Amino acid sequence: MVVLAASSAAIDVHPGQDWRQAELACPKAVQLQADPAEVERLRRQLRLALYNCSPLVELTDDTMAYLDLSDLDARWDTEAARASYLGRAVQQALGLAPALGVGQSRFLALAAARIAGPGRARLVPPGGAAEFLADWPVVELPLPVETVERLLSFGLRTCGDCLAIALPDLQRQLGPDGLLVHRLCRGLDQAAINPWRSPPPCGVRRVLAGVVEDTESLRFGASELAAGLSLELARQEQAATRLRLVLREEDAQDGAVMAGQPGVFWEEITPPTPVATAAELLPQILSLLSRARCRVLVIELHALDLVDPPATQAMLWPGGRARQEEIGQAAARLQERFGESVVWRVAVKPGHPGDIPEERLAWSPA
Amino acid sequence: MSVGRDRDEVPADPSGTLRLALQALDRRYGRSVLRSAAGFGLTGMETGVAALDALIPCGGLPRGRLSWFSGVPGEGAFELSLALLGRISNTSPVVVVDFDQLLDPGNIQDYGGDLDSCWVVRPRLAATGWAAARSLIRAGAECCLLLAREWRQVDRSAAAALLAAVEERNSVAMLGGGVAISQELSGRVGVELACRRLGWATTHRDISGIHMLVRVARSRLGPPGRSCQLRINFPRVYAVAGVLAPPVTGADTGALPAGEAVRAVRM
Repeated sequence: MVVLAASSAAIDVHPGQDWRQAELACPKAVQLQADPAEVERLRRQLRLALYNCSPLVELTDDTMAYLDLSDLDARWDTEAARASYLGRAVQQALGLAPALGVGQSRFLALAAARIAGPGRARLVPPGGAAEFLADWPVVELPLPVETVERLLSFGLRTCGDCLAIALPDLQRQLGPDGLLVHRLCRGLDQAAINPWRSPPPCGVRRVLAGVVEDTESLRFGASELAAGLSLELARQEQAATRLRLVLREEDAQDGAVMAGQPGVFWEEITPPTPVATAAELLPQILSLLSRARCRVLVIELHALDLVDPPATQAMLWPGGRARQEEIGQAAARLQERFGESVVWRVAVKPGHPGDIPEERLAWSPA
Repeated sequence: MSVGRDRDEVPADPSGTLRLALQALDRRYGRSVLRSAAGFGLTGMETGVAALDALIPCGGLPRGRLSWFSGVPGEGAFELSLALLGRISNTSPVVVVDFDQLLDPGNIQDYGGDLDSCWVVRPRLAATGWAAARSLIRAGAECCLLLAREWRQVDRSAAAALLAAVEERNSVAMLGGGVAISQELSGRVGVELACRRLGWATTHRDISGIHMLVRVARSRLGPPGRSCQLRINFPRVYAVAGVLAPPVTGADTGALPAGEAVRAVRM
């Protein structure tokens, strides 16, 4: 389940649930398949509407976004006018009326939006947070379950109840969470908006001593390129999901790469998993270099679509298995270079399917 | 003056001139061109066949060197090298380069090997096979078996690159089969084990193995001429005809565990 009608909350159906579970809870449920292209178009429209209202936007998921409205904008006199404009823009983009909340902190804005409901906006003026949250239940506060249970055991059910308790008393009973409760009940929230920013470019560039015509000889520099790029990726603590190799001839212009640019050869590769280390980068670079055709003076290697580096489980215990992974990668490079029918893994088929190796064994490219 | 094995540590060279000269040679010709005169310090990879290990001074197939199992077809050189590779594959990743595409890799398993640790290279061009073997050795394969009918025409630079990788990674390279070898490759063989068939081993009147003589025909590690007799039980007979009784192992020492494919008969 991805998105549900508003009425589904009453029958215990929620996003993330399996379709069978939803069908059990609601036999008359209608399943609509999402159209990925249309979803992507709507996301683009939503982003346009949001960025038109504020340059600092944090999109948490498809259902919630935080905007920083603290900057002055001459287009709107008041925050209410700005929120009203935002609501109309989002409604125009999605065809759905959003719930808007404006407050001094993330939590306060979220609470205001929930209270406002779809198609409405709720503004909490500065200094009015405590009054606004007086009836807000503590179970809705972003607190650990144990803390909430402890508050309830003391008979503190709303933020207003907690506000009546002095901070030292809260801290004495709840420890460090006492300060958190105190802050939340006053609408204070330490979490800032984390807007999306384009990542800094990540790549390496090498200028050769002279023009190299034999691209095969470039392969000898592949490990150096891999080491350089892996250092860059390590510095940014990222992994690349796409790699681009750019080879420039002597008279080619520097700058962004465009299709059909004279004197520039470029090729991209998308590894099966994000790559970050030199060992992971090397086969990809070799693969890219094997496709290169030009007189090269400058080599550039760019890491694109950076993501958090994946964690890999090293096979430490079985003898020789750690090296097998490296050999497998070397075999993959050989396949890329010489074709799929060079390095093979074999396994004996069960039973006795035949005498000759082609019948008796299961052959698979390494 | 003796030069240490690690050429970065040159004794009695206060000016550093010798060190610079050695570094220049390394850069120009590769590290394998200049070796220490103070002993190679070679270690051997144990084959698990005590009689065979005892023939070679380093106690097994020499690491960083090329071992050649020579012999015409039918003399057992091919089978012996394959059986030894099967043993090694149980502890280390191995590579087989089948230049003539005559190998049945299933025999590696039948000889007790682990196919999960085995990469089979079947090159269309010989140069591809040498390059693939070099890459896989550099990646961490412990042992490389090169199989062909003969070794008369070998790409000199490709073979040199492979052997440099073998030396650098301290791996084992084996040539299986053949009696003729090119001059370039011949100069790089560390130990040649000449195989000769003494007779067939039979079980229920069926040929089930081979009795063979293995002799050190030449060696850079010690004096040649030593020999031993081995018996190899052919694997397919038992794999295919499972109704046969367990193999009778002949006049063996009796100390080896059951199921051994290669057995020492007599020193």
